[in-house]
Amino acid sequence: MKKEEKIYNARRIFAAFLLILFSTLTLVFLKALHKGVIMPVPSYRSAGAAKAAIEIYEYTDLSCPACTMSNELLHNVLRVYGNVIRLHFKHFPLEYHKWSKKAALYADCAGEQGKFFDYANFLFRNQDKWVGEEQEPKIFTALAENLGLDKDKLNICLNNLANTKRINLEIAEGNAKGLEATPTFFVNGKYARGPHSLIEQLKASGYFAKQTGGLK
Amino acid sequence: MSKINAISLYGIITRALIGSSFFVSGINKALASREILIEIYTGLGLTNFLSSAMVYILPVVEINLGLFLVFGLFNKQCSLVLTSGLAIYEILLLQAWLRNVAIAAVPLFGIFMNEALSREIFENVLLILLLYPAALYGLDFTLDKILLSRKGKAICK
Repeated sequence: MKKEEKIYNARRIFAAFLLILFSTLTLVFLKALHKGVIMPVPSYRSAGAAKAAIEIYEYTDLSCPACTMSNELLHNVLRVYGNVIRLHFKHFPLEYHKWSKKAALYADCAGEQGKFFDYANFLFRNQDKWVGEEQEPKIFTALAENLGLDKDKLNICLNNLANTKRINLEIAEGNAKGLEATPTFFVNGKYARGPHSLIEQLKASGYFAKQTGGLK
Repeated sequence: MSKINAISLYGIITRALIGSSFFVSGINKALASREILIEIYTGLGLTNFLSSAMVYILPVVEINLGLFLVFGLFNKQCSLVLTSGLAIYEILLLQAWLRNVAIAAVPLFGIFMNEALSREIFENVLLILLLYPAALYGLDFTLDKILLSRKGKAICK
């Protein structure tokens, strides 16, 4: 190989190294911002306006007390600003909450019969009745009966591995996004951890300042 | 530097567009969860081992070769590797189509898609067709050319 050729190739390799460095730094930066593709949620887990100015993805755990607070807050916000907000509920059951994943599965199966938010909201408000149970909480089936869910359909849904897999993939998605705690929100793609941060993000969206009263 | 005519401008634009689309697609894959990607690749008919390998290899290849293509570094080699990759992917998609399998995809922008087979097949063909002019005509404003033109200067020192 001629000397000129060697120098030319060395330059190209050096340029390649710089570009690889650039792409690595870009990736690290995006990872730090918790960016990443979001899997769609089943339609029964979404609420609010179909075409909304503000889209919120809520990663939550049915056993987590802070999630109850933020869930109440979000539903209150939805009641007032339902025409501009779309909420998507994402399961992110934490490992150390024994019944979270099971509760998520039950809530999804209730969702298939159109009662997702009724089921999930009840579980949120009554965490003290089931979170610490040793055996599978009876409240899961009792609540399904109270809400008038079809028992056979519910059982088929509970035994369908695709539903468990979907919850597992949602957990994997949350982990890939670097989520460490619940509740975590993405307000129009922007990360917010906890209810206070959510309010800050909603205020920062600038939309509520234009509305009467605004967010307090 | 040679004059830029309409054909070479077209080549540069396609090179930049394809390169950046590979770059963004690679970034999306790198930021997505491994489990979701494995699910997609096994859905295409790949074995678990190959799917797991793809999860690590594909984002790196897409991000870096996409970036090389945008800047025109190793331009022809990049185009060749990417075209071969797309051709293999197209075969995988076609056999999935023949088997009537639903394919999920991590798209360039926005939200993950659950039934993306026809869209993916179409996009792939389009990319393969565009890569040809990018490799053939997008040779102006490449790092390859700029580094080559500086060669003489360095040797004279």
